[in-house]
Amino acid sequence: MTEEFQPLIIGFLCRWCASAAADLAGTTRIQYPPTLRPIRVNCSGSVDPIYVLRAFLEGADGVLIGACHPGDCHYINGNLKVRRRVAIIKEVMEALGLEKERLMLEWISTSEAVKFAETVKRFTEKLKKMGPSPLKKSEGDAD
Amino acid sequence: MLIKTITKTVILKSRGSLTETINSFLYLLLEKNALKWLLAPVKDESGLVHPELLSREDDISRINTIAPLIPGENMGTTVSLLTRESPLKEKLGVILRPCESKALVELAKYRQISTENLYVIGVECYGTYHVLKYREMLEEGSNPSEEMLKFFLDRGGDGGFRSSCLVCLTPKPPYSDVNICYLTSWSAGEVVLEIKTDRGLELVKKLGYEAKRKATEGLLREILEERRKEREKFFADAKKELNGVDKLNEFFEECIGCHNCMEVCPICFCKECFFDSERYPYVTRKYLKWRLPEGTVLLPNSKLQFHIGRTIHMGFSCIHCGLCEQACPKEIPLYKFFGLTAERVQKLFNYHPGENLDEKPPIQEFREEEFQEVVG
Repeated sequence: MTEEFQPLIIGFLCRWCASAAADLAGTTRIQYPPTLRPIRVNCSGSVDPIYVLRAFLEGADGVLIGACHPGDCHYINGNLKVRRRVAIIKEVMEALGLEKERLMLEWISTSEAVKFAETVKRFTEKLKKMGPSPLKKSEGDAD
Repeated sequence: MLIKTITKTVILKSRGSLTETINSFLYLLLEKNALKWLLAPVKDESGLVHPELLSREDDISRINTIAPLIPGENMGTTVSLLTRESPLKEKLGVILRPCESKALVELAKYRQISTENLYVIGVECYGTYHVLKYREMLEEGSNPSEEMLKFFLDRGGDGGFRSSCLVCLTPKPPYSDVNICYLTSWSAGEVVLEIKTDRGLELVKKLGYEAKRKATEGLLREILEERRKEREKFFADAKKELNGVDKLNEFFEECIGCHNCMEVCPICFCKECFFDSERYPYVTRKYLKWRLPEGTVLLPNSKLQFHIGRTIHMGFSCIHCGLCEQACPKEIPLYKFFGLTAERVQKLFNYHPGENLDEKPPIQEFREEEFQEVVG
């Protein structure tokens, strides 16, 4: 019997919004797949492209960046910066025939625990259909 | 300072050879004290050229502006070294090829170059040879400059230029005060100085030149049309060759991780780089984690991390000089990779690196309503 493929998602969650939403999802006991490995960052704008790339090369099937809605950034425009950066990464991935759908940016505010859980659910389903990432070269568990 | 359309030209009549004719202009710049210094490519004994800072007009005869070669680094990098710490106090003229002038503009945007007292004298460029090919040509007794001009006039084959030169669409520096043009005019024994800014006009007036109206340039436009097609084909082929992880791994198979491409890149100016840091290499603990169930350890892909990481970091400002490819000791056709990814990102932002000091790089400005499609 073959086990169903469980994707591994590395999440870079902004401490002012998406990370708090994840906490809220926990305390209100909203269920979502255990595929996400959250990493709290002080601002989504601090997510360097190399974090994303390295996550993929070290075994992630997907990377999720949780950021504040435009206009809500605690540091004025960090979320707009990361959006441009994501646009660049996706364009390069597409140019090189890598699956840009494996990178996801979503606006999740502090109170949007349901949206957070839905996002993880949706992303997990998408990655399950896509299968393991070809960029992944090993089976190790990313910690 | 804004780039203006060419308003005036000065015609220099032949003074013997092409180099002598061009140098007569450079000689006057120093002799009439229009400029204090000149940074220019100087011919050395081996026949190659290297950049030198000159202040005496007697040294002008050693300058060779037309040698189709960028031997080491992009001269934009050299200008950055000269002006990064503090603005120039005295007038410096720098003689730059199109891709070098473009590097200068990008570096100025990132405050790595101060344009105060800096005069850019651009040189028309049809293409440059790989430094090894250039040396080979010298050993065979042929004259690379003449070969380049001959190739320009005949336009047959690929001329053996570097791959980035063959698909280059800027034979004239977009940012400069004066452009030295000779490609179309030299067959009639003339060198044309295109005056592009007020500062440039001031400069030639000091030399006693008379500036006239604009000249025509039909042939160059024709060539650009051809090159535009070549360029599309080049990147379409590159896209096929680099499609997917396996093909990328194959492409970088021989990469030895020397980082030469990064060292020579004029855009990679950071003093501290992630790829030079302690965090970049993988350590034992990580290697052991990557053990496959069958017991084999697949090594992590640091080559892809380096190359893709670099192009994501700086690709939007890539000025397509292709020196990364010339610097590669394993002769990997790197321009295919960096050119393709850079071109895509630049098109995405409709960004034209190196053309205008006022055009902000994509990472220096953000709008609330944009790129909605990348979210979700």
